[in-house]
Amino acid sequence: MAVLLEVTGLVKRFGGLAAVDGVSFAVAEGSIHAVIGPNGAGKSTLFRLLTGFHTPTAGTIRFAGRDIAGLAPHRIARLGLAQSFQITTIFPKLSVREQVIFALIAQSTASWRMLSGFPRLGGHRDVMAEAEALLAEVGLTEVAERRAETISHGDQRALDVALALATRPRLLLLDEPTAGMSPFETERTVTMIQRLAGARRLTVLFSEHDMDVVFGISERITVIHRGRVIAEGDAASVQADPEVAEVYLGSAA
Amino acid sequence: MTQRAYGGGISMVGVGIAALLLVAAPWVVPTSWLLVLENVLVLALFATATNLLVGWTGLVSFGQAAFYGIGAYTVALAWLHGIAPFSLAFVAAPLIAGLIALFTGAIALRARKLYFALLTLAFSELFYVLAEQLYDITNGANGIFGAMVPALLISPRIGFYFTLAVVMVALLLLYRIGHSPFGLALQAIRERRVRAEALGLAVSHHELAAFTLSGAFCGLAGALYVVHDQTAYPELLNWVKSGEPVIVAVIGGISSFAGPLWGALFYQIAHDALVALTRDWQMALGALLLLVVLFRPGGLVSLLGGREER
Repeated sequence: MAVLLEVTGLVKRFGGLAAVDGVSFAVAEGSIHAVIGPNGAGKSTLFRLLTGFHTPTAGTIRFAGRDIAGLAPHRIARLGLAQSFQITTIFPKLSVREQVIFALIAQSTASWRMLSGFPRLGGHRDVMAEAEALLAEVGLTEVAERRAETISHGDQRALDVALALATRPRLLLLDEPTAGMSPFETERTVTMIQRLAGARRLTVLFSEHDMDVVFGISERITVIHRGRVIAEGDAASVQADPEVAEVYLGSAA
Repeated sequence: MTQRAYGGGISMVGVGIAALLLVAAPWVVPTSWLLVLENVLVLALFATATNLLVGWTGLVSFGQAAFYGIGAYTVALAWLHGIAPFSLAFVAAPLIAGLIALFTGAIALRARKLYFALLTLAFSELFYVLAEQLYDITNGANGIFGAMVPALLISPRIGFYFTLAVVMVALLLLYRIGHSPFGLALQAIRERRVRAEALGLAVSHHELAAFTLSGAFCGLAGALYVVHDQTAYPELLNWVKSGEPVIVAVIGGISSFAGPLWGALFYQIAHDALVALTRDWQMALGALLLLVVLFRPGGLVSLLGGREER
């Protein structure tokens, strides 16, 4: 399979500390790929480098054939790399439907239309139809009129994912998608990720602490420790790796 | 109207009644009231234009008087130096104010929150000092007085209708902007700037566009002030004047389009009543502002149509 994202020799220093210290890995198009590692391993910094919220000290990030290292976040988003956040990041006072519509038009010139009435979005009926389809896909049709701050936590997580999907990404970056979830909600999220990867042919790159989730759905796993890659492979080979076992001994495993 | 985060407090019936009352006003109320109403209209436009930043985009500017004053001075200076006739100067006022907002915004928007507010305040003071110091051009602290407005507009009724028409058209435009896809993008920036950016929105361009538009409409309000008072003076640009539209918007309610309109009506009446009673009217106003912020953050408008407001 073709490589969609290729990270080579990526370094991010904060003062003297290298939070990410020469990381290289590749994500195959259409795969579900996990990045794991103990707290402080550098996962969040790595994700912020991929999405443009940090500028790398050194190294390259090739996405769909382009070097995106150091590009502004909105430019990277426009190339098709979308993210869902570790802490649910929605627009609290906007209605669920309004913010899905916003996410659909954020990248287009439609966000510059100043005199067409919202929410009719004159001439943008396709946007309205797409918003309804997306709301249905993540199961938010019933709460579409409600302000986002008033819906349940599980629905907010689904909305967070819907916003990322609205940008029609090729790669979806999920930072601990099941953090703080009940087993039931975790199950719902895992099913959703697998369904999205299948139906939309999405490539999914995610970080996660729940090892059942990681080993359950990942086709490939990259293990990071102290800013470096210490192991990579499928679930079986990573589980068998002695260095990984040592890193996780006494912590998660 | 469905449950919407913003845009509450406006009903077609209410707008119709208000329009009828305003159109009838010159034939019903005494001239002195007409002048108060003109003040309310100009202040309503000034506050609504400012609220495009404060309420919609979440950018608190304490420098909008700079653009208001530039609008006023455009008309006054064009007359004083014989540069252009009133009609041309009046049309140029919002354009020049918008252009200057574009440049100052490009600088002020490099900072965030408190620092952005301080930079806008600094620009306001800069233009204030310029208006005061450039004596040869502006008459300095004396200001500019005279027949800078066509005699026709000095007639109370015609002047009122002119102001009413301009304010109505400007408010309609601002309403359409606030409820357009662009207005939605501004609200998304207010709610969560980082996420708006992560979704691919060119956030800083949208902020600058909002700042420029707001400046242009503030400039239009300033030009209307000249129609009303036939004078321009440095205090129109300083930070005390800049605080006014923000206070009006907060008292009325920044989260609805109607908020600054109600705020302007209330503020002008309360101001005129308090000034007649006490020299310390600003203290009473401060106390009122405090009460609103503490107990009614939705503003006066949340007392009127509570369901639609947050």
